[in-house]
Amino acid sequence: MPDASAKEAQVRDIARRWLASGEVRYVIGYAAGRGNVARAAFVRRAGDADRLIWNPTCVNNLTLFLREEMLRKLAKGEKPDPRPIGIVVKPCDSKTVVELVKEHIVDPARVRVIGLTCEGVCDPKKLVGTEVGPHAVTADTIADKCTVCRLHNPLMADEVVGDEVPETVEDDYSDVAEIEAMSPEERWAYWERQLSRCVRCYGCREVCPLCYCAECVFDREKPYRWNERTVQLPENLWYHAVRAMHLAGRCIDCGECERVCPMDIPIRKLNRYLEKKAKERYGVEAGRSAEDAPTFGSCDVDDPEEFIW
Amino acid sequence: MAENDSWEPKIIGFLCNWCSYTGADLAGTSRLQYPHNIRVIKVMCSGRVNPQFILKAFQEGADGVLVSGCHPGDCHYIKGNYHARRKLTLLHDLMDYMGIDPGRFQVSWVSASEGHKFAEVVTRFTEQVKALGPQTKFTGGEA
Amino acid sequence: MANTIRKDRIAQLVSRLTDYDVYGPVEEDGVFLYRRVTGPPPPGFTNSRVPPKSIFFPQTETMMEFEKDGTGHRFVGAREPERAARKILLLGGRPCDVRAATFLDRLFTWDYIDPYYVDKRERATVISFTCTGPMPNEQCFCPSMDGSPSGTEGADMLWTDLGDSYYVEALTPKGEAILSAGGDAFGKAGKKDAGAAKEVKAAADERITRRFDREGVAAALECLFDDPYWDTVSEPCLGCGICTLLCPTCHCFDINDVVRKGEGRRERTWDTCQAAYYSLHASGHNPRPGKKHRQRNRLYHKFLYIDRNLGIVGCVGCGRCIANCPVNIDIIEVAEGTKTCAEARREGAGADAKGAA
Repeated sequence: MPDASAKEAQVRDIARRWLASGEVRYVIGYAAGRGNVARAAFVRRAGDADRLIWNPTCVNNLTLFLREEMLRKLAKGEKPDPRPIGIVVKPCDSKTVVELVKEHIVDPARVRVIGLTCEGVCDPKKLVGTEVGPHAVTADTIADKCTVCRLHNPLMADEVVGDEVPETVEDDYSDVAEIEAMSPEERWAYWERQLSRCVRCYGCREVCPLCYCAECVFDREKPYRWNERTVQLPENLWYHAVRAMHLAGRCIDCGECERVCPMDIPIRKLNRYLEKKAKERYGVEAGRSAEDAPTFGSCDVDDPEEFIW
Repeated sequence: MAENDSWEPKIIGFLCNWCSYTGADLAGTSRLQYPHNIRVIKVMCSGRVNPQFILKAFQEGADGVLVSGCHPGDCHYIKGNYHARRKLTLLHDLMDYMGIDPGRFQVSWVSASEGHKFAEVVTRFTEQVKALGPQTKFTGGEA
Repeated sequence: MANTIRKDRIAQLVSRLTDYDVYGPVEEDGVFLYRRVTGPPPPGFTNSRVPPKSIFFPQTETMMEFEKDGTGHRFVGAREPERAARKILLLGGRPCDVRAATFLDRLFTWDYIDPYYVDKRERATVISFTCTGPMPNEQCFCPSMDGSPSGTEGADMLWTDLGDSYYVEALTPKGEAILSAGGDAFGKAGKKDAGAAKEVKAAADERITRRFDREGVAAALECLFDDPYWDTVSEPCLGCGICTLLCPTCHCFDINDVVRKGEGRRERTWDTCQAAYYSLHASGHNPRPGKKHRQRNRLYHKFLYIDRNLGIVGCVGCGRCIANCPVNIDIIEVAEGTKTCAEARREGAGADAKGAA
């Protein structure tokens, strides 16, 4: 990416300007990390803006921290700060902002978005064992989510960094189709193997910017425990099936769940299947526009119902 | 095998208060015969049925789950069954995709006057679940 | 006197160990895991994602089974599940993970003898493999935690990869038992083999470059409990359980009754101090309400509490928590950072005192 450093300088400039003028409380951006993933940085002073970076290690979705702040209970005696929070987003992450605005979690007036144009970032799992540091984005290193990404320009950005990138491929959901093509027994064997590995660290849930229930159903104890703590296939299956349903029609495929999974479970394949189905059946797509109706919050008289008696 | 021959599936039915539950009542008062495998849970609307209820029923040992509500357009709450339709159709898809016998989960529209249809749906669904055998994927039990 | 074993004879060895359940690393979708095996470790195997502590201390373990009586209101017939009597063989633990098992030994026999763990541990023979092949991750640092890629602490045998064969050292009577059970599957080691093994071990030592200077960390932690340092450290933390569930020395568990259809079981499952519900009281009060309290607890437990209680440091330097942390929290950085922070606080306090005078 020849213009990465120019974009990096621009991000720093904008953050510096915003922080110097005091129009934002702080800026959430990327800083250099250990390994091949950038680190989230919370920049509070204009002088620290140079900590911010932009390179192919910026694979993570920072909107999670924005959502966390929006839902945070104020500490005792803390006065609410009405100033917005600045955040650096890639186009895919900007879809999360759209979705969070749509779900009334983020008030657009309380966020200032630095949107970067993007043509793909590296998958840290593909870089294990290589030298640490920013690698070039190539066919071997590009994150899977980027190969099917249709959105290269950020949505809802207050400042866009980078020149407009033309839209490329149409997503053919070939990864999902691969599983759909299997027989039911093969499909079960596939998911049985994958989900048996799950250690239920809940990393996929914690990293998901759209998993924001005050009390998650999987943690719930009273009045009824929905899922046992047992870490065995039946409970793991329940966890993943319910989680997929909770994200159906909302997931914007930022790929964070699959990235953080320590057991390499292909979680995106579950979410993308429902994304595909929601699109096919209802023509809905998450993260397009904050004006859209939520998938499950809307309905149509002519929705298909071929399996219903 | 003798045990298998006498095996009867357990079916949980989530029936909406206004149509299907009354339909089931009508089936009863009309003395219609249908398999006794179904255990009915009354809900106010099929839209109340959260997909996780269905998965939980499987985890607690159900072999099949039936959700039944008013016909489209007849919902007591105007749109409840339309919402149910979206959610439950995607759940049905997901079960298919994960290879967890989507045939164990069925949705039907039964109005308060359709006692006959209710008996038919339960009969047909019980046969379908019987053919699939005991559900073990969510219980961890042996097939 | 040492032995060797050709790699193609390992399957034969396993087949002769008829009274052992043999566990070893296998590769599944690119992830190394410990499973029952019948042959040698797959080529290029490196540290598993979930440490082999799961063999002695399974993630989910039934402690007791019971059923409802005829009235449906009372539980009767509580019984322990039948314990296996067969011996266990861990074929291919890495020295860091095997050393971690000795920590768990101390812990599970400290004030209360944990019968579930001790039972499995006593039945187990452990074969460590000198850490060669692909690096477990770029982050491991066992030499700084008094370990070594060819360490033998906790192991009954140490095997060192010599290409076509392993150089075999039996370290305990349990290890000798494997040697005699294996019979002619093993060969005699020559002088050349011994020399080669020595070289492999030296090379293994050398390639670990990360260092952690833990001198002074415990002292720094003593004075940082309420420090804003933990706010900064925990800011990006997600509160997932990856660091703790994948840790070879973490040992917290939660006990639950799982009741279904008139019968039930009491089981214990690994718990993680990084989850909010870990410390949640029945009253609804949570003494560790925030991410910072939970991050802090992890550090204090590893480098202070367990040191006070058992005189050991709760880390073997396997690097799993660093390599797998989704947000780059680095235990070395955080621990070493406490020293700088404590230093700064002391200087600050000194300056204040001077100013006041």
